[in-house]
Amino acid sequence: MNFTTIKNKIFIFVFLGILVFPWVGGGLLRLFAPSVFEKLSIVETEKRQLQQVNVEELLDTGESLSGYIDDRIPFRYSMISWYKQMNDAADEKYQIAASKIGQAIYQPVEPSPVVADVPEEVPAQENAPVTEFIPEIEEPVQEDPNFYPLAVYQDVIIGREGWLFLYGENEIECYQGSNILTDEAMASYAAKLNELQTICNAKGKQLYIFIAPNKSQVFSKYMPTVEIVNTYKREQRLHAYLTENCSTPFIYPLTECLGAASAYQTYYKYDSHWNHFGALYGTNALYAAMGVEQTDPTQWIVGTGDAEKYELYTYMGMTDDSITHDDTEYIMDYRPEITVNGLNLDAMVCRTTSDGANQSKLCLIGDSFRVNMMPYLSKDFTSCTFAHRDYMTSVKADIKAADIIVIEAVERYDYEAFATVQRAINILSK
Amino acid sequence: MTFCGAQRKIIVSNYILLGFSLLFYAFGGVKYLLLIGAVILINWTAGFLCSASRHGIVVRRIGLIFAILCDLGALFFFKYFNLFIAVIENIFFGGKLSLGEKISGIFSGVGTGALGIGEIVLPVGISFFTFQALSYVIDVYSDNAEIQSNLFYFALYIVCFPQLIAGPIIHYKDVAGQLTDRVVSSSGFAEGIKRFCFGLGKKVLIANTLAVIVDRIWQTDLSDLDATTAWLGAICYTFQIYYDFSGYSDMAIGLGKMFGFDFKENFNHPYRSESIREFWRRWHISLSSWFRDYVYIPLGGSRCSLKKTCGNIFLVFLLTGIWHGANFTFLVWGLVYGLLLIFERLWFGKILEKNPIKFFNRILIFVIVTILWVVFRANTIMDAGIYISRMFAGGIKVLNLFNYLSGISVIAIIFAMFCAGFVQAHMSVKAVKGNALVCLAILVLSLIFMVNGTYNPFIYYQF
Repeated sequence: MNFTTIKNKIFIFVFLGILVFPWVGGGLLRLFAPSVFEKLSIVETEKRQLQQVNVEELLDTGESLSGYIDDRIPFRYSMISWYKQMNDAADEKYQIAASKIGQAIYQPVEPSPVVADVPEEVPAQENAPVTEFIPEIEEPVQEDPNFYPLAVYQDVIIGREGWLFLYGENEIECYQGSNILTDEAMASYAAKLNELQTICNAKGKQLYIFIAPNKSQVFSKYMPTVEIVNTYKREQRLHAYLTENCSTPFIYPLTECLGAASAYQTYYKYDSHWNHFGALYGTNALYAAMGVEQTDPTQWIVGTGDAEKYELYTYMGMTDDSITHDDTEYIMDYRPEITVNGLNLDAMVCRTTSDGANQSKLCLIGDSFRVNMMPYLSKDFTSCTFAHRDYMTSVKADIKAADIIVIEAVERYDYEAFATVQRAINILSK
Repeated sequence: MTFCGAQRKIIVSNYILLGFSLLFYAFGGVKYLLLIGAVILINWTAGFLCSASRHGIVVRRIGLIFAILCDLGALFFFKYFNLFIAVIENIFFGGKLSLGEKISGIFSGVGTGALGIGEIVLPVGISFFTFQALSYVIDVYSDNAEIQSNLFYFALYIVCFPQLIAGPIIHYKDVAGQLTDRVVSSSGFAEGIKRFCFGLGKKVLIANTLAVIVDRIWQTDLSDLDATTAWLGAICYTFQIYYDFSGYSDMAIGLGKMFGFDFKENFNHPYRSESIREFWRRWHISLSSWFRDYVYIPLGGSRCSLKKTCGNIFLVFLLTGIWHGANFTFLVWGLVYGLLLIFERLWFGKILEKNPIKFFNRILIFVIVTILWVVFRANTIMDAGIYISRMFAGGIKVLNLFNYLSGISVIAIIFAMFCAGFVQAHMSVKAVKGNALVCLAILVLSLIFMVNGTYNPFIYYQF
């Protein structure tokens, strides 16, 4: 056996070792030190069920088998962490270079008004409800003169001063104004809404559509430098269109949220949702439309605490022990004199009763933005049903019995609000 | 019959290889084993009918036509039936759709659903294994190869896992001897590993990284694209498709080497081409040579009148376009190449030849190829038109490039440019390719990238 043959055999041995060792080593570790194995292999941030083999599907596709193996690759967490370290190191250098190059050619645009330009032909909201307790904005939001390149990791934007934003799920398109709806699409939404409003009128119910603004619209000062294709964006157009063509109150409290954000942190720094304090500004906007008494959110602040919402980090694959908990939020003690029964913020369907001021039965169907509104609504209405829109079948009776129906969705999922409208039509028509 | 030790090893390894190849194919859906089994049986039987030593010309022709009808029938059914139904539905069952909507439906391959026919799922690798099967029957019919009397060896030729999914398309005459007589050595195995690692790196480290940029650009509203971004997307896709496809081919060739097979090269630095003709001699060589051997030359090739030669070229590229998929984009992509080749043969080729600065030829061909990849990548012809128009009329916005780049993608782009053939003309990469440590480093990096690709957090935001 000559030297080349020995060298080749060692090379083959190492190659096969790289492929086989993780499975053999991982298997042994799993047997003799399961906790170490789990630490190195289980990805805690994947908040999902691991893939199981779907035997019935194997005839058509082996996807479930591939997924099963993928989810059980030994040392998976270690390898994902190594990738992230490499990516971070490369991105750090890239950010420095990109910022320098970008800054050299970047010319900041003129300061934009707080709410982006609205064409003159759009009718002013003469009867717009008055939302109180919004801090005065002394100066328009200034475009940051420093170029900050867009960096996206696992669908998360790493913004200025460490703020995180969603990239996907329509968020960046809403921010850039590149996903405006056609007149036909808006007309079809209006038709649906009018249909439901007619049904509600006949049944003596009040109906409200509530669209919570995206974090990137409210805290745009922390967004990277990206081109804004349209300053008159999708939700503003939809709001104007539906206000003109429908009698249903359509609440999109961007002005309120921007006002609040000029003085306070109303959204989580590392999560895409509004915090408890911000949610009260949103709830006030809803109350303004309903004619329900509003309160100054600041009067309910009793302290500050850890924000406890770091899920955009989770989305990026970072475990809780690897992140710094530096986001805080106000601790709210809203109307402490009122007692609420049945409030469960984690439940997809939640029914509450209270000794609140409003005797109407309220039914709110929405998404995750509803969660931080629930503590307030449940104290202001004696009987509430809160349901995630995917669980509407469980609250059919509540919808039929409700005096007030609120359909909520976040801006990036506004189309889901109209899917909910359709489902409400189906339920109430029966 | 007695076998020596080496032969016995080959026989045993063939059966093992066949078993694992079928298992590998079953990952795409167990039921498709029936399809590939039928293709094997039909073509193996047709091979006997086509043998000159056994039958007269009539039987041989019947065997050939039978095999062609079965193979192309299966290919057309699984690959083009959905498009066919979409066209029929739009033309005859369009209902209240306007003419514009019908045309849009036809060109985007979206039917009206009026016929209520379910969608046919495309079996993995069908374009490749049907062409390989046809290659066998035609080779036997043309007396270029002996019939393979052993069904299992013939099955191995069709399903041999390294090239089953994405080629290269192996001509039967090229591997007939290797099925029964080949050498498996440690040096061949080591060489195969190196080739495999490079292929894996091309696919995972470069192509997949570039795919992120490309997909993000194509997901935006194309009519809002600026020229800078459009060119970034087009160039990245040009590299992505090369590294993806040539990476697969490298892996197939490398795996083949590990088992003692010597598959022909499928790519030869196509982006170094100085003419379209040269590009097609360097790009997807196994497909080009398949069409050359089994379509172009039997039709007369270039040994006929100029008019007929041009017709032959046009037909071959029409078929090339159709082969690539059931979308009018592929058809247009193939036809434009056909027209360009005719144009080059008639006139432009002489200008390219006379040009003393060959670098300009390369740039020109690269730009043409890049633009045509846009047609290939587009979902519809309309999208391709919009995208190409934005490449030339979208305005220059350099800052928008930063919206799509990242640290790792910039590294991938640099490697892509250096390794795609621009630089190879002036330097030898053999020393790098032969380095075992470099190969192992690529392997480990690729594994890390692949495992990271399985990261799939629960999408909670819509809740």
